[in-house]
Amino acid sequence: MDRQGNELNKEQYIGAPIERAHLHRGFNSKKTPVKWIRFFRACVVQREIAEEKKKKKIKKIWFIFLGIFIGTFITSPLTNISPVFKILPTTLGMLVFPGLIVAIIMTYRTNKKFKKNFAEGFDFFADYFSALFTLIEEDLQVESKIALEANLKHTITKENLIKNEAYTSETSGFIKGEEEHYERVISKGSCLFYDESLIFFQFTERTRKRIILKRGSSGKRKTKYKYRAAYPFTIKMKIPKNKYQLNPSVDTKEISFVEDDAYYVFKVSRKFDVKKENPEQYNPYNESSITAFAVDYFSLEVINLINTCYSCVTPSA
Amino acid sequence: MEEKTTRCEEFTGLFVVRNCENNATIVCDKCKKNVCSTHAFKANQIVNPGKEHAVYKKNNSILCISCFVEFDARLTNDIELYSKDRSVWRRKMIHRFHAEYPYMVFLAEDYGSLFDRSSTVFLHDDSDEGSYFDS
Repeated sequence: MDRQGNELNKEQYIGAPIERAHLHRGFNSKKTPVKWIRFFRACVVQREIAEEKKKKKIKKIWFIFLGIFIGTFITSPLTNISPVFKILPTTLGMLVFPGLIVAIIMTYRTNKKFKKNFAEGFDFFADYFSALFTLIEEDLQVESKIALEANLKHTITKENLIKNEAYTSETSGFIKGEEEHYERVISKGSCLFYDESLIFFQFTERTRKRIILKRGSSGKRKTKYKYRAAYPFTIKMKIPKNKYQLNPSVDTKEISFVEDDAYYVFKVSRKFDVKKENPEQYNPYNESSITAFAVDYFSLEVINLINTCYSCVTPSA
Repeated sequence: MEEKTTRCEEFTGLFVVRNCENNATIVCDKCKKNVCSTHAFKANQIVNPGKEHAVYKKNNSILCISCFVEFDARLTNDIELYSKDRSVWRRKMIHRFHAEYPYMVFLAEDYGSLFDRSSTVFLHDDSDEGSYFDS
């Protein structure tokens, strides 16, 4: 009961850059569920701390600039008291423009440094996989580790482009269009269940980017970018023949099934598509829509894939 | 002479449900079930207990996970997963899963020694057939 309600606090992760470094390279490791959860939590906490620091620094920069700017006006009346004081508003006035340039450059550099050090879009990953690993934790073999490989880079990059095709539309003002299809494996991994079943999983982001050149009502040409993303989560499960027997009816429309000497091998997939499942949350101008799915919903839907595989077998009597 | 040990009366697992293998060290103040320290929770940690449950909180009772989850009014979103409360979160989610999905559960004890602890943990090779996903 000692650790009941304990939380990982920020102090434990200040100055520990290892998680951050892993995030940038993408990571590939084997850990027990609790160690993975700790790792995810540490990554999120480190980013939060750095973001707080960044915001404070930017605030300070602009506070100093504002001080110079306001100071110019406040010190102006002093020139009426004595010409000696003229130096103050003049100096401050001369600093306003260079100060503005310096503040813009420093803000840009601070933001750039933060982006370089911390991967974006990790929070959803940490939440989803912490939940998933917690749910399967008790079904793993004692001290068994989960192998996990993750790629947290952007999907819309040249190396992820898989198809490029022309797009046409009947809408008024349409001039020409193009569709680019991207695919990135966000993560894949495997684990061994208590009953010796092997689970392999793969989580992918598929994004379609539509580029439309059209003429607006004013006659001016403009280019629009629209996105649609879907997230297939695939489970391959190898269930040992020495522990289970195959049920007489397996619905092969939903489940792909093969068998080898030792295992029944099932493959099931669940595509998370916000436009289909939750259209009011779909925004065509957002590249990614994965965060539209609640953590509970995501983890239960994935667990149901394993459940679907188990529904095809019965333990040997 | 060997002292007689009592097994924890809680269970573990989502698909292959097994009896907890730990020795019981505590008795639940509500249901009197023998449980191990992993499945025992301090009632004073319960958030927003109902009137009938407040007495357990007031008395600093020790509850089994089943009774604790019954009293604990927290939403799953409010539970920190990097803590012992992870098992409370899991139990709440399992209840939801059972309520919302037609589910498969195998009770290990129904199948004799079939699901006895195995030692294949070191045979797990995760590099196996990644290409299966390509199809």
